[in-house]
Amino acid sequence: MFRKFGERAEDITEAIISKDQFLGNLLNVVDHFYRNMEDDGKFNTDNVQKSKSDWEKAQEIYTDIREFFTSVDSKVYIIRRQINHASEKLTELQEQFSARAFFRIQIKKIHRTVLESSQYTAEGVKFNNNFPLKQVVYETVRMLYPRYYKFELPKPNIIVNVEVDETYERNEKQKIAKEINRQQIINQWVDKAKDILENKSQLSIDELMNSIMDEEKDLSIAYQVASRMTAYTSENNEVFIDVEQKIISLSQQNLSLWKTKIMK
Amino acid sequence: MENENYEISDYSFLSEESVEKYFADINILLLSGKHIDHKYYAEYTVLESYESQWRNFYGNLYRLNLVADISDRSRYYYLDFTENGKGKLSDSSRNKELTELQTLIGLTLLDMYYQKYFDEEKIIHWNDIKTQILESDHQEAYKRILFNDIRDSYDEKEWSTVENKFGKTIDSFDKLGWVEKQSGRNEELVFEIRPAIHRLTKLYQDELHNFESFIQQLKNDEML
Repeated sequence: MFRKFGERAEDITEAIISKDQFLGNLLNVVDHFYRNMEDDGKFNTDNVQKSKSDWEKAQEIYTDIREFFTSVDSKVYIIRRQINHASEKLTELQEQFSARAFFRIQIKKIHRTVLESSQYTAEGVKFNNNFPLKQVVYETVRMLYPRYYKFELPKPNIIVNVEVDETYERNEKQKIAKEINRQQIINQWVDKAKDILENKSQLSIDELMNSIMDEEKDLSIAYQVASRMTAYTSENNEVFIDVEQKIISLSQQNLSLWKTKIMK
Repeated sequence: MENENYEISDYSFLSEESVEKYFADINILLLSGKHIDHKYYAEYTVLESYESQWRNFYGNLYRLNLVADISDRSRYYYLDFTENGKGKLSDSSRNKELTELQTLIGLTLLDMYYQKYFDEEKIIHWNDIKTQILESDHQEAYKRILFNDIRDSYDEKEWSTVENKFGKTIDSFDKLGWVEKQSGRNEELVFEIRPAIHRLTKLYQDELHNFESFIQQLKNDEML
């Protein structure tokens, strides 16, 4: 078998030599066109066109054939490597034939045994005897990390049951009740002031504020009522306000205001 | 090259430039069960250059053997358990038992390796496997195991199921470095069987050395 390979190798070598000659000849033909062009020197239009066309054809043939031989070269290289490899293997076998043959037979035996031990099941191949299964090292190393961190992690939506602060609740309720009460008192005083205005056709702001202060002891209520009544004059065309530039000081209070009358 | 008998007790080799550059790749590959041969040229070279230091490193820190094995004139490195146990990888999540199918396909590929003994590269196409199943001396066994039915031919769906089983096993062998897969996803299966497939003969060396008693033991177990 290897003698045949050797003979083939000689044929291949000869083919490569003839290929080199052939490519050389083709290149000469191509160069021939160049020389003709240069030697002619006349650059006759007809000659130029014809030579150009011939040159292009020759160039195409040259390229095709060169590609063909390149692929032949590469195949020959692979064949040569295969022959050398096979030859080395054969020598190796010759040197250690008995050991190799024994090893090969052992592999065939264990292969046959595993086939005899295997059976088809719906879950996959299973052994029908105690043919041993072997273990290998297998530690998967994973390094996971977020490459790009462009988002915020969602915040956990946890309901926290806060214990009732009864003192705080009581204080807040008292504050609210006091405020509501204050608003009611303000409203009552505004209504009362409007009644006075209706009945007496005039209302003195300082007197009104003094009356409120006497009863309620709260300047902010008196101030709120006075403000609401002043605003009332703006809203109502039938009501007029007369502001005299005379300072009136409220008794027991550090507050002064212009003498103001509201009339109807 | 350092004296093999010299016990290296420090890990200064880890700060060598080439080791720093490839340490993560080598460590991850070896711990994941990879058999590193010259196809991983850079990693293989770094392992070879500091072989005894690496052996000491894995021996001391992981209680694992770094094995440099040679099969069919090709050298490769892998981690193996020591005689005293599975070292730091004794946790079941840190070692893997080959399945029945993987064992069957592994031993079949080992047999096919020798069918292509004279080929420089043991390239296997899906058609080679089909031929093995349909035409080899063991065709009846293959058909019974893979199709649960012995016939001359099988339809496309049946072949597809078998190819899928082989494909998954070849993927796992590729991770071990026993084969090098050449086909992509959704392409017909093509791969090269690497010399490291001989690791199976190491795994089964006791059975191979005492083959007759191994067979007798299997028969005795069946009788029980």
